[in-house]
Amino acid sequence: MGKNHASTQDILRVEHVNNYYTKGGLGILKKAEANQVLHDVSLTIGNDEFFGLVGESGCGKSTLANAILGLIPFEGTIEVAGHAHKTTDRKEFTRHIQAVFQDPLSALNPRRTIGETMREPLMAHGIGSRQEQDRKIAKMLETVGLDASYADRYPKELSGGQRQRVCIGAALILEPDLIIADEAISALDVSVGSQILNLFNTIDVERDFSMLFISHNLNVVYYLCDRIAVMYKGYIVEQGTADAVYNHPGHPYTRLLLSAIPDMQEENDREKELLEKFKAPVAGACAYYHRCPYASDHCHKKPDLVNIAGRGEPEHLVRCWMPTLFDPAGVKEPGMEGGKV
Amino acid sequence: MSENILEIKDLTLGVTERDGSMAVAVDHISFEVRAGEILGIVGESGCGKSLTVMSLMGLLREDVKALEGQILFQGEDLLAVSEERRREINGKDMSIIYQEPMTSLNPLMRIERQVAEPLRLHGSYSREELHQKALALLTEVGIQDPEACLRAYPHQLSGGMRQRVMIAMATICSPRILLADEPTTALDVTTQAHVLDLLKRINREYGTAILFISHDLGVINRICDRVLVMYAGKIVEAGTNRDILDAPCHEYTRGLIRSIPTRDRKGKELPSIPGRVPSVEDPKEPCPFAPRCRRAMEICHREAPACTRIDQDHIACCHLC
Repeated sequence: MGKNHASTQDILRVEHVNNYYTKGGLGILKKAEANQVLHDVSLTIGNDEFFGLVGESGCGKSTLANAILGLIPFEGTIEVAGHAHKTTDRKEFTRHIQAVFQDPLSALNPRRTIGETMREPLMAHGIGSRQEQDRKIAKMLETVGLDASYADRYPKELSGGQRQRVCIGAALILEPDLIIADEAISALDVSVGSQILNLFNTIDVERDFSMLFISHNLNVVYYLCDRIAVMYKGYIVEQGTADAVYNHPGHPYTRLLLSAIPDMQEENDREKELLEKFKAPVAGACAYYHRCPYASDHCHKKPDLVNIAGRGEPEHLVRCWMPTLFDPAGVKEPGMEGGKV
Repeated sequence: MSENILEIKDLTLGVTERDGSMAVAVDHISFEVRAGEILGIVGESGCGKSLTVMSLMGLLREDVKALEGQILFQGEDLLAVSEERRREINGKDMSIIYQEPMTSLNPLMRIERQVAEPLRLHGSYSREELHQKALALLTEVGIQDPEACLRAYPHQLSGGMRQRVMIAMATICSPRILLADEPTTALDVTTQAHVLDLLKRINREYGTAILFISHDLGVINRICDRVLVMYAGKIVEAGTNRDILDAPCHEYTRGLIRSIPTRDRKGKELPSIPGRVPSVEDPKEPCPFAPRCRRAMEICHREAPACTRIDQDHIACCHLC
């Protein structure tokens, strides 16, 4: 390692996390087969930083979120504000980390008013008298752009965007260090989704919290986040500042994702990068080998993450044998500088 | 001017409320689908785009009624035809693909039977012919191992493959028009790109007209020739891709385009549209967008705007256009 991972500034530290699920394990005659979902995932999120995680369905992004939230077992180390799951009480842990999910309707209890839902975390942690809680709830509702009178309403009386605002408010009310937003705007209409993005930005100015923002939409992640990681089949294949990953992608998969986003430019302006060459998979090869148009025999071995950033620049990691293939102005020979992580 | 395959005139759809009254969900919309074109309908949830498409297929829910208007398919009013005639048309001349292919495919039937079903119903083919046709079509829609796919059940296929199967099923009778209701929304971006390319190829090679519904302006831009923008049951703007995306006139279209995060908007506040999408029960305004419009004038709350022709295909319904 040897990077500045031990810095006290880090709100989230994920180190060498692996996760497996077993399938076909039912019945005594069937043999359980372990499938690895997360492969040696490491990342850190700094204080007040918005970190974006992108990838296609099944790449492991929600599994990572669930591991960080402590909802599923994993191997490796995960620490939130210096607290590890294994050594911290579950209740204490929830003061540091909260989540916002995709579908706000299923996240809210239909039989409780918004106020009751938002009071629950305060009650559980014994924070404040009833009056103080009322004040906190009213203030939080205003922070997320709702009128204090919404405390007496039920979820069904609210629109999708308003419900998501309530979920964000309920997540923030304990003043956690880290919010995990898993596809938090994917289910919303375009005009409402952009309101929520603006809301995250405004709250960010007012309050001190970090966020792991998970999405399949690279445009949204680039818009909101300071740093981005791209996942493919359980591996982080690229990680760096939003600008580096979005504007100077090093991994062929990131380039594919970027070129696949339908934009509003005229058709002929668009870079036709969408060449995928499906090959027969090779055991032990790079995870992206069978789709990669640039793959060679060299790729029959698994690549490590390599830092392609120049000296003094923020880290830009790419998991590829040819990490500077697309950026000749980038750096020197592959694998030479910027040690492995 | 090319011929129109489908002409919708003053179509009005009502939804029965719990108290028995009728709420207007689609309000006097008129448009045409021209031969060989891809026409997009863009709008947010509840704007009536899906109801419109379902009414074209004659598949409206029990509580939704066509109150007024005509749907002319090659001169025949589909709102007035018998159920037998409807069954002749559906799947043969006109077919549909939906957002979630898993819920449209029968989980207990092998792909082969499902793909060949429209042919079996609308023609007389031998078993071998059906097999060959299904096989050819699956190859056509880009399935790697079509023989294996024909033998598979839906749960054994990936989301992208299922949608390709749906497209094969919908096009096996060479329909004149294909309706597509958010067909790529549930797919990953890369799979979405491939499915869009496939639909475009079917359109260009066989001249199948496509009515394509989406909430994503980027997707609309990638596939459509012309676009209708719907808001609260009305068509508020219509035009070619370039009319709508480069020179939008209606404030809703403009707001929608502005609120999408793009490369050059990082670090800036997104100029989002305030308020929320109105629901069917909400009281009707003369201009449905007026309550959220930042340029609304006094007249907008008093009088419904007329639709102005701005360019050959470009129409906008706004007092300011």
